[in-house]
Amino acid sequence: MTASQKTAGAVKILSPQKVLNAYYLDTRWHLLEVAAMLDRSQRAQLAYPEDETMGTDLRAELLRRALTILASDSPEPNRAERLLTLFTELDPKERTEG
Amino acid sequence: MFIIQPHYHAIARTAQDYERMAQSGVLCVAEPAFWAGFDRKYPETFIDYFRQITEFEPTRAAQYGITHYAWVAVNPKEAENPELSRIVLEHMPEFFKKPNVLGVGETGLHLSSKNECDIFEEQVQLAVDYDQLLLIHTPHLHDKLYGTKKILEILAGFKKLNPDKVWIDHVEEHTIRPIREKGYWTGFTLYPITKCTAARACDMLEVYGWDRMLINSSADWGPSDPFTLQEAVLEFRRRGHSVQEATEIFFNNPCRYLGQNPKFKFKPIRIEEE
Repeated sequence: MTASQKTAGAVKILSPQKVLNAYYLDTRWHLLEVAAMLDRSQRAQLAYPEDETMGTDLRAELLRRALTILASDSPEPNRAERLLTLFTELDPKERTEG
Repeated sequence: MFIIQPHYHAIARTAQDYERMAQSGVLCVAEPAFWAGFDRKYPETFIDYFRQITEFEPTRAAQYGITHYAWVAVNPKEAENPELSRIVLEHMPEFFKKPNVLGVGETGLHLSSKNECDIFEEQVQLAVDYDQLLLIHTPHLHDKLYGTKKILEILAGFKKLNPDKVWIDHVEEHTIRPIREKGYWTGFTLYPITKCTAARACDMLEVYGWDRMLINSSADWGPSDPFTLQEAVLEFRRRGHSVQEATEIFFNNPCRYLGQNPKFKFKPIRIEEE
């Protein structure tokens, strides 16, 4: 078997400790960006109480559901796939059937 | 480390990008035809664009010791104009004869409209008829899942299409599995915001292995960076994978796929003993 033909099972991956060491700060940064965006939108809601976007826009709803996926236990390591599938729900009516 | 950039829109990039790519191990780029950011009105504009990427761009790359290959196609956005598209398609075989043209690309779908699907099918047929490699663009963001399924459905109708010659690009976690199952080549495009990051690409390499995997940074006129490819090399190496394993992905796999066209001159290399 050549290196290019290696199956996933044969690929050596990082240990949990090494994953945490390598990605903790980066993930912390991404989560802070999410938190700051949520704060920003909340401040905007307070400043523009007549604007109902955050309650009616599907994108806001998808972000809330995405956070639920991230916060819950997952039986399989497929959170990225589940988030991408969730975001696929955006604007289905705009799609023209081919 | 030697690197091949298999999907690179050179006409949208500066000479400095070529220079820095050459300084960081890139020996070769392959440039698919794509959307210019606006819909072109005239078939002749496409023809001149094809001339630019098949005649002029190789000379610009050569100044930095980089070999430039190209693909020709009508992209999915402009496939919305089928009359114009069909005139361009009539001219594409002339470009298949050019010394640096490797195949039909990037075709594919954007919103998966009927016009897009029709022109995509005609370009798949062209690739089959002229025995060309086929580079397929999958849609962006929320259109990707539906468009990828539609592309696979259309490809299934071509019984003479050899999956070895087909590269489906811009794949993400929710679209990779069916493409792998069909035996097509799989491409990850590394973008700063959309598409895929270096870390996620490496995750998918570890989950699915790297047989028939191609990594690229596309690098066009939008928010993009050709050096996301080098970021991916670094990410892969930092996870403990060897230089040879990285070479398999970032150099040898492009050689294996693109080398199915005899015009492609690079061959897989081995730099570490078994």
